[in-house]
Amino acid sequence: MLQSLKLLTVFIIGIVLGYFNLIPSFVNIDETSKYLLYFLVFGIGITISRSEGVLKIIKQYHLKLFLLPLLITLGSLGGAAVLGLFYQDITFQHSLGLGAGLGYYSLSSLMISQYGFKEIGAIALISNVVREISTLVLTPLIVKLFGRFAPIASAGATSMDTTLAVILKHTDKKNAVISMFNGVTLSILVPLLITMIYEF
Amino acid sequence: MIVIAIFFLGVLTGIIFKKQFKIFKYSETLTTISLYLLLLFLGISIGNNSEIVSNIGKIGIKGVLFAFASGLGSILLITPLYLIFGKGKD
Repeated sequence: MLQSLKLLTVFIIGIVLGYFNLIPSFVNIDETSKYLLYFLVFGIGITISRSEGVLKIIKQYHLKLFLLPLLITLGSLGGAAVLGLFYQDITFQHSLGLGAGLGYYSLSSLMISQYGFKEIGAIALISNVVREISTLVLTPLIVKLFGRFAPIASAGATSMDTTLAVILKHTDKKNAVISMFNGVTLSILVPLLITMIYEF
Repeated sequence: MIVIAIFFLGVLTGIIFKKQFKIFKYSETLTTISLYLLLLFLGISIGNNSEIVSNIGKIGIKGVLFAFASGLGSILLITPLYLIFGKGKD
């Protein structure tokens, strides 16, 4: 089973537990979450440090490789900001926060919740999981309509792991390097963007 | 801001100890456990908030719409790149 679906299941179990007030009284959920998030981010940092091959890729492929993650990020932020205009209860800041997830469901939603915005955090979680799953399902169509870079764009940060196989299957092998590089860059950008949006 | 600092501390730790492969196994376990617990806790605090629970359907729809808005935004902005670099051989 896809990890995102497992995590979504755990999230739903949590909702049920919370709804029926079945909360272990010995844990202070908000306080514990704060430290768990620190552990998580530390672990993600270690994992990303392994992708040092990225530096070689940049040397080989030129700086124009950065254009792809840059435009993907701007597109996500812009798309979310435009949709946010139609919601009176979602501020511009939250719209950007929802766009800044870049498909990285766990990190963006947990960081947003940590700032105290639980409802937006939940929307972010669903939004980014949907983005990953719809990329997995719709990639053939996306490639047909918008070309071989498009599934990398809709995948966002997941283009380096969960959606990589599907992207390569429906485009070409040359996309592998671009796709991995994009995923790593976006994964680093997510925590930076969320911090900028919510702290400055 | 603390999150960013800890994130880069993790990157630094990974670079310093890159020869010790065990560290990557430990960090993966640590990451997975914290991730599941965090989502469980996020679920609990949402389920325990009656205002959010009564809006759960709307939250789901918003999630789906924001997924498509941000995904489509990204696809549209990279289309010029595809037209310039993506069509021929690179």
